[in-house]
Amino acid sequence: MPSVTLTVNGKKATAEVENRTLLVQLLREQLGLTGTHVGCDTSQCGACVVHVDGNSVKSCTLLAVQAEGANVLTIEGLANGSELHPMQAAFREHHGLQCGFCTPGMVMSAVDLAHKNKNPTEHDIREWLEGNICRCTGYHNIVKAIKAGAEAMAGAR
Amino acid sequence: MAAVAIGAPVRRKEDFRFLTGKGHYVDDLNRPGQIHAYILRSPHPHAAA
Repeated sequence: MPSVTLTVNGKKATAEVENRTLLVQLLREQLGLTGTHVGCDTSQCGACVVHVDGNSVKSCTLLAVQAEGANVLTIEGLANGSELHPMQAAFREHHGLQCGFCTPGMVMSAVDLAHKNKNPTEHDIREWLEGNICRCTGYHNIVKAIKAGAEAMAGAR
Repeated sequence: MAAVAIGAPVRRKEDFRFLTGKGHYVDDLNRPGQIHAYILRSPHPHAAA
């Protein structure tokens, strides 16, 4: 079985995986990081979004072996202890979540958007969320949260 | 005078764990020796097995 070594949330991890093991399976089943969710298994819903070398990626679409040497950030690594990341805080403030299942993917995706576009418009945000599905609330408050979160991130720099 | 609660927004208690990836969903269960079930339904409404 191939072995894969990568950095996850700042910590080095090595695991034996099968050729077919997906990055999300490595994260959830072998590293116990169950904050990253599998909602659809068909790369549509975006609940599994993590950052790989700074870019948001659907971790159910990447083989674990493809992440060899990569720097992976999951939802568990975003907050600074009990202090929420500005994007997480904005989701909380603007009621951008209900059941929370899509939330890790939404937040990770939103953080990547805010890195690439300091001041996204509502249109930019809605277009960016094409790959993230929420089945609870609709997207109104999620969009509001991301706008506020992006502003907070730009202000913090 | 006590704060008026009616109509006031209430911050949800559960959001912190959902936002930090610490929510617990059924798919997150991973017990030693855990087995998985899948329900295979008959394509026939009435038939002899």
